[in-house]
Amino acid sequence: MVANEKSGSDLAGSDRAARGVALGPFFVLAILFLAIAAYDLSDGILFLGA
Amino acid sequence: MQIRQLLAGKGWYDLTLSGIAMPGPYVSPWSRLIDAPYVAITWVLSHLMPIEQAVKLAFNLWPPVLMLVFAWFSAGCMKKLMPAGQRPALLHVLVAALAMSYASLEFVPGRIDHHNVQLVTLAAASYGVLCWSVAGGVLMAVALALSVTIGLETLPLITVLWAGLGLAWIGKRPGADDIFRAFSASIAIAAPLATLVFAGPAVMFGVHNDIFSAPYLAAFTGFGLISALAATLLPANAAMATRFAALAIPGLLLLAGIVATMPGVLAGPYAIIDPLSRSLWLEHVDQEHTVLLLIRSGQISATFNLALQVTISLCAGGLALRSLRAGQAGPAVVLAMGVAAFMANLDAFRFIRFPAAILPLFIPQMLGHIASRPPQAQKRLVSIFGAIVLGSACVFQAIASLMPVQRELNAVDAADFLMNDTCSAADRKAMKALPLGRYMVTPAVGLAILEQQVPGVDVADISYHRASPGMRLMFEALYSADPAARKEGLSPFDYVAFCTYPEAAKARFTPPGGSLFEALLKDAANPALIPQPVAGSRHLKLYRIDHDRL
Repeated sequence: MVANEKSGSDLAGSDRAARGVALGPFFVLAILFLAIAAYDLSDGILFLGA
Repeated sequence: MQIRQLLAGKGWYDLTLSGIAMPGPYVSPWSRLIDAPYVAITWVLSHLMPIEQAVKLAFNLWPPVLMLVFAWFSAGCMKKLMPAGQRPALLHVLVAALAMSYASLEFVPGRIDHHNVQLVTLAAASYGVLCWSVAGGVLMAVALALSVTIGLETLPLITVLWAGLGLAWIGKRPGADDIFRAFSASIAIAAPLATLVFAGPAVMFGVHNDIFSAPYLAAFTGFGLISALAATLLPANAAMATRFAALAIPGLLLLAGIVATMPGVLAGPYAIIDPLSRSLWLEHVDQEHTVLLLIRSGQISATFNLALQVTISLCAGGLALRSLRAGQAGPAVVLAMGVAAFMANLDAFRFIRFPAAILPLFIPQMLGHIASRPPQAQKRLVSIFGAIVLGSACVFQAIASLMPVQRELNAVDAADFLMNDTCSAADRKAMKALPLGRYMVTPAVGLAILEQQVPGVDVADISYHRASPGMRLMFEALYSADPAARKEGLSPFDYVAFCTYPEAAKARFTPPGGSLFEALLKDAANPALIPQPVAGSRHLKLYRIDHDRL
């Protein structure tokens, strides 16, 4: 059973362990989004050196 | 411009943009929700630096702040989609972030656009769905109420989300009672409140096809109340048919009532655009056409994105179905919203950022699922994954190549050149000294003049749909070869301001014979247009209109 498959009574606001902040994914997303923005602002020069 | 004019003292509910006379006033469709953060940041910074510097800094600061909020909710969604106790692998998140590129580009510093806020509201709503709780329902309602206050383009996605929640409630999915009731009651309150605060009573009680106004508000509030009452009053053991009827019958009556009392809403959001502006402007706007045109024009990234999104929809669909059978409807609802965004993108690629923001949320879950399988099964799943990507890419490429099109993406004709901006930096500077009066201009020149904020200088148009009355006069005045139409187009104005074209550009198109556009390009003498000197200009030409000689 995949963990998303929970019985009904568990569902509303349940899974306390999963309530924590997803800090790792957040930082990966934020850093990559910033990198994409920097790439766009520099017309590609920043990463490609073109 | 809207933000600058608000900073300069324009009223909160006064959405008229000064400096545009079509000849009637131009009222912006954008509520104050987009302006408010920029104004607040500018106000704080203005205590530390000159106001102009504070505005520029606010324009560069706010989009990355929104990006952090977007990343926060997106990361939360990715985590909620994972099996309990598991976290998304960072490498998988990295893959998802790359697949979200079309969305993340909306957060580039200096980009003043409503789409970045829309993406934040959609990410927050998705997170609310995946929480599948009362708090999640409230979060969803607030996010979506703000979303429609910004613009109506997320309406198809919201409809799918609401329908998904309704089906979960009708189908008695575990926890659906609470979230459906919380969402419905909250949106019935949040929608009018957000409209009142950010758009004002005139919008709230008026019928405006292109913005969230009375008819849409009646639908949201009415259906919110119907849903909340049904979820509260019906007993838990009520049959599915009873639940369906409790939503469908009053819902249809409500829609019939809205259509009967406010039939104007049926004309659609672009009703203001006249046939001339529609054929010479709107039909030339790339983003109003299918994303398949991007593929047709050779953009490999568009092909790859579409193929990847199909693959995500199918693979995540399988996982969402398993969750649904096990009683959890949240992933299926979010996925349905992502698929709706994908379909909308096939219709018009103004939607391109929405599927790119929603569907990749499922990538860490999918890759995590593959990684959890034995090596042999992993190889099989990766092969299937690759085959779907390649297969759908080929299908999209074939459809894009073979489909009949009225107009290629990179096709340009005289009307496109007319809308082009050929004013130089020197011309923009020279615009500050333009004499007071009403100006017949092309939309690009109009925007350039408007940006100089010269009091008493009003332009005919800018290239936004609500400026269509001015654009129609502009096409009649400059593009039409009919002298009567030209006279009518020029009649409300004192001057014609025009930026001439470089010779290389002129060689690429033929203006309509006998039009004023042709005469202006050739710098031909016209008795009705009396040249006026403009100090310091390069391409900018100014003519006073002698209406008696038109």
